[in-house]
This record gives sequence, C-alpha cells and structure tokens, in this order.
Amino acid sequence: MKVKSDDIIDIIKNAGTQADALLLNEYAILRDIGCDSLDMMNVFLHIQEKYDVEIDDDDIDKLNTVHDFLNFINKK
Amino acid sequence: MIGIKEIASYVPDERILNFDKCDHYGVTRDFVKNKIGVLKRHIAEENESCVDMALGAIKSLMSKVDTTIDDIECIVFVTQTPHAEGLPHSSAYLHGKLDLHSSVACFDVSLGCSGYVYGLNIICGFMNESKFKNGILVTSDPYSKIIDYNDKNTALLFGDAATATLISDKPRFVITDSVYSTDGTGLSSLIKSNGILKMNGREVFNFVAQNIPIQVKKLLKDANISIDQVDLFVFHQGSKFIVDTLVKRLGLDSSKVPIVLENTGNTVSSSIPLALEGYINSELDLILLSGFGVGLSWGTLIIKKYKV
Repeated sequence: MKVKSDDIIDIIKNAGTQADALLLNEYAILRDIGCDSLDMMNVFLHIQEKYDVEIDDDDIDKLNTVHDFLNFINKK
Repeated sequence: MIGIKEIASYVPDERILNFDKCDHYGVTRDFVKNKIGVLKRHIAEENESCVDMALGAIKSLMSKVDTTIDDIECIVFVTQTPHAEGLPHSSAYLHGKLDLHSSVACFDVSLGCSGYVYGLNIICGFMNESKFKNGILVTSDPYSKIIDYNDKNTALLFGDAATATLISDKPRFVITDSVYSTDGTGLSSLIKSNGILKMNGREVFNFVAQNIPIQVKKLLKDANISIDQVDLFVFHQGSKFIVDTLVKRLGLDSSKVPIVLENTGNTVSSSIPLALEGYINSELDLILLSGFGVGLSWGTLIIKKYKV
C-alpha cells in the first residue's frame, strides 16, 4: 500500500516535534517550519520504525520535506 | 542487608555558561535550554584529575554521615578518564591520598554512563560476599579532558563531576531487581579516538530510544511491578531531549522523572547519583535507575526503601 502525505504528517505531529502545524504540508521544508536537528532525528526514527526502512546517514540530507519522505519510502 | 546510605557530590569551581556559546556553535538559546537542557557546565582545572574530584566528593560525603573514613572497607571507582595513564588504577591513587589501611579493597570499573547502575550492583555484591559493612562507590569523569571544543555535538553537552555513595549495612535503599545489556557492535557510536571523544548523536539517540524502554519494561515485568508503582524514574541525564524521549516512549508521568542536568551537563556515570542525591532521604519507596551509553552498555535496576 502506498504511503500518503497525511501519514507522514501524522508521524511528524505525533513525534513531538516543534514543527508549526499550520505550515506543515507536503512541500514545506521541515527545518524552515521549526524542526531542529534533534526533531529530525526523532522523525527519522519514527519513519524507520513505522515503515521498516533503514535511513542511512547518506540519505539524511535528501530528506527535507514530507514529499521527500514519501518518495523515499515508496521507492523501497 | 547492604545498600545505599548516603550520596554526596563534587563539581569543579570553573564553569562555562552555554548561552555565552550559542553564537560560536550556531545554536539558539531555545535549543540549548529545551533540547540540550544544559545551561551551565563545570570544568576541571588542567591538573585536576578524576582522583582529585573523587576526593572532593568523598570529603563532602564524610561531612554528611557518622561513618568515618577509617570505617571504609572498600572503594569501587567508576571512571573512563582515569588518573595519570590509567595504570595503576585510579582507586589505588585514591587509596594512597586518603591514607587508607592496607586491608581496604580498591578497584576500578571502566564504564561510562551505565557505570553507576553496574557499579552499585558490583559493590553491593562484593560487600555481601566479603561481609563488609561500609564501602564507597565513586564515580568521577573529567570528560573535559577528552572533548573537542570544535565539536558542538559534545562541547555543549558534557560537564565534569564526581560523586561518592556510601554503601552500608544500615542502608536507606537496597537493590531488589536489575537487568544488564551490552551491544559491542555499536561501540563506534561513542568512542575515544586519538584522545578525543567522538559521538554519532543519531546512532546514540536511536540506541537509547529503542532499547531503554524495552529494558525498563522487561525489568518491571520480571519484578512483577507495575509502572504506576514506581515513585521515581532516574534516567542517565544524557540530554533533556533524550530524557523527554524516554518519558514519551514509556508513557511516564513527567513529574516522576527528574531532569537535573541544567547546572551540570551530562556528567557520565555521575549523572544518576547527582539526580538521586536529592531523594535519598525522601519517603519514596520504589525508585528505578537506568544508565546507558558507551559500549554500548545499558543497565536498569530498582531500589526499594529499606525498612528494618
């Protein structure tokens, strides 16, 4: 089953990040809307656990938006 | 019954205020306060070693108890930044500086942030088998000596401190249950290389977030204790973010989880006794202690108020 943007948005909200909920959409750059480096770490872990995917350190710089996460997961 | 009687601590005089360093490291005050959780760190003087800091903690301990230094029958010294070159062991230096009797048993335990939990079980077991009445568990790590101050991942986090715990046959708290783990395949996440501490923050975060809740739940299940029965959860104070993560993942009442690294930083094996120090004379019944870090090594135990 394909992952949808709302699934990723829910993860980001439930992970307890400081992302501004009003600005959170598929194309918003997460760091620009309040996610700091530790929030991102938390999001990476939640994504890994939920979708059983491995996010390598090399992948991190490419994962900046909900859309990036969708592409990453749906390609796996 | 052997257990914890009293705890005392020592921090060096020199201190660094993290807010003064925000611009240098390109971080915000909000990040320092609410994520790292460290506003102030103490730094040992250049010639001040783990043994000197331990002496400060023991002096403070002796001022709080009726026991005298001549009553002490063993010292277990937890450190990973040993005195001089690490040979002989730091506890031998401490023995000499305290001018203790030759009958006093002294040895080191080389562990980091799990060291207090392991050390507590080691000294209690050792004293029980040896029929000792009084011993001291020391933790002391001047990590400032191995920090790269160009590395913001570690430079804003770690502080120097030492603690001394009086272990006695007239305890206030005794260990009831414990569980320990090691994962040597993950050791490169937190390692000293060329004299400098290297930390992969993401790997350490994943390790803690994924493994500590499992260990805590296993211990409580094995001990037949519900999470609500525990009066206090004292986690290693790795960072505010890591303790907050454990609160969330375990579904804990945050009022039962002290976060006390604001004025000391992550003090490695001293962080748990520093947090516990304020509760040792309380009326709390069950306290869970959980340490995790270098190794990777993690251990969790429960102490219970001892009633004669």
